[in-house]
Amino acid sequence: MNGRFSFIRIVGSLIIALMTAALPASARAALRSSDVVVSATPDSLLAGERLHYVIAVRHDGRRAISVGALETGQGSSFELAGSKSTTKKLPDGTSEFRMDAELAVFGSGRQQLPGFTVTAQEGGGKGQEKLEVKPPSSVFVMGMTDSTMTEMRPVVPPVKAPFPSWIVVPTITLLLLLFIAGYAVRRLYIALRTHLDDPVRNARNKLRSIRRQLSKGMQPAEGYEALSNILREFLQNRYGFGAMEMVTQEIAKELAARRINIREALLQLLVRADLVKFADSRPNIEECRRSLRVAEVLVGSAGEAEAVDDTADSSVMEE
Amino acid sequence: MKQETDLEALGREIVQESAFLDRTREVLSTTIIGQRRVIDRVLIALLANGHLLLEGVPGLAKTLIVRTFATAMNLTFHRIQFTPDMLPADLIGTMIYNPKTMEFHPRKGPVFANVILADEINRSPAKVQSALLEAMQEKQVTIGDVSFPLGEPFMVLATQNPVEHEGTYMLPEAQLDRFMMKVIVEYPTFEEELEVMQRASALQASVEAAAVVEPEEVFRARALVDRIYVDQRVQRYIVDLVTATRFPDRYGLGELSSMIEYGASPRASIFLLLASKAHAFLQRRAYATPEDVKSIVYEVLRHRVRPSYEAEAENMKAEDFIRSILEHVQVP
Repeated sequence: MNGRFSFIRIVGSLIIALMTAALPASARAALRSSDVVVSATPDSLLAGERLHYVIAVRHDGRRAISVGALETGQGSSFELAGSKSTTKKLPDGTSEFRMDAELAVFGSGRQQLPGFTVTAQEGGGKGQEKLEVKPPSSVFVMGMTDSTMTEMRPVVPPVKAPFPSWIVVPTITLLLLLFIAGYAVRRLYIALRTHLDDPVRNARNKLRSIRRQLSKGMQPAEGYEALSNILREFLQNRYGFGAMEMVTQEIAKELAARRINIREALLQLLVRADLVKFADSRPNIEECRRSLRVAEVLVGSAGEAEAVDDTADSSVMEE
Repeated sequence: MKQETDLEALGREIVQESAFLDRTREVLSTTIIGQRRVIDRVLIALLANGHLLLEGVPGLAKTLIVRTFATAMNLTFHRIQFTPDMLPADLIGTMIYNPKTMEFHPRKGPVFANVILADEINRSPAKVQSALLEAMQEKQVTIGDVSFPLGEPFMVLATQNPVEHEGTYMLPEAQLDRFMMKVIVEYPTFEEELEVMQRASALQASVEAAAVVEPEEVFRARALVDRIYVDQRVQRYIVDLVTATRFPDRYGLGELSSMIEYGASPRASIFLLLASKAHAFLQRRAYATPEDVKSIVYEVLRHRVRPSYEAEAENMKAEDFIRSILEHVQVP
């Protein structure tokens, strides 16, 4: 019984195998247009831009699928810039061939997507099936130039914007206000500088400070050195010559040339200070205080003389 | 108070011992018209034991000043005319063979005198200049194997002509540095020249200068110059002036940095201090002041500050730099 059953089974298997081998390829899994899916993004682009063109072919997985004869190049609005093909198994047991192509687009207006040929190749090169596909969809290409233009047109110069005359008065007013403000600030700055840099005021303040320091223990010799420096600085700032870089004899000549009324008393102080500084003379504190007071009076009188000079000058001007 | 008393006493001594200066000036004034500044610088060099370089065109009485000065000081004087064919032996002396004794004897050259006038020092080659400058520095001369000390005081007054450089050998900076001062001998004023002309045109023999000073007086004066008080402030001012020739930018003189090829050496500070003290002595003071420094700073620094090519192109001289430095360095 068993032997008989085995025989039947072997014979049956042989019959099925023979029938399968005798079937035409188209009868096994013919390529259908519905198996081919085409997509393109974006659907509208400028001439010269790139189009992402995807061709997906679903098949039984027993044949090798390829896509060829893509209608690009000369005479076409598309140019193949690059492509990549992959095949993957799907969960339902079928396979999907996928080609990602990058196409440069030219021309203008609506352009039909390029056609192509899908080829299914049997293993060992026994049979081949081809399917020509003409995608129904299209993309819109915006041309860089107007293709309807048939002659050169003159370039029209840009229209000049009219001058906004309303801005003139506010601008002039603003500039005037800025000028007045700047002038006022400058005057204020000069007045402040004059006040702060007043040589008479500065010298008197410094002399008073030295007198205070003498009371707090400053040595008389140091007091004389400070006195000499203050007087020379005062002369430099008040009369505008480099007294700080001059020796007493040079200062004497300069004062004589300028006919400064306080020169004799000033020089006496400077000579006394020179003796303290260079001849190691040791003054006492009272002498130093006295010299500082004299210096203060001299500096003050120089300031008053200046004021008198100014008044005299202005009265002469008025006359 | 003690220091004050010392300075007062020193001041009195200076007044007493400086009387010979008036006598010298009086004698010089009988022969020399004007040139007061040059005479003062010669006296300063004598008191500070320094040497002098005199620069001036021919005919400005440089030789006459030096000769009269030596005579008035009662010092031996030799004038040596430097020439291109001169040899060191012509200056310092040489060993002479004596056929009678069959021995070599030293024969001393003209450098053996108290006051030497090295006329046109730049006409001789470097080896002769070096021989003299060595004598100036060492105060002794070696002939053969024997060293001979030079007389005391020993003072060299060298002259050079500023306009004629053909066939001359300019003194190298290292040798210039040996001179305490470089004095420019100026033309006399109109009145001075008138008087010079009137005196020189007289056919009678000119008045011979008399010796009015003894060398001992000079030595005593030098000892007093040594004791003259120079405060730290004045000393710092001297160093400030000399440093400003080397690093002008530190004193707000950045524009001079490219103009000065190199500044004065420390020897300048030493000579500036010594000359300031001698100047104070001429003023009969027992202490030096910045005024003394300023009075002789041009003479001490002018040959020690070398202008760059850039400065020479702009016709700037050492005197211009010194003037700028004096205007920028604060006086104590």
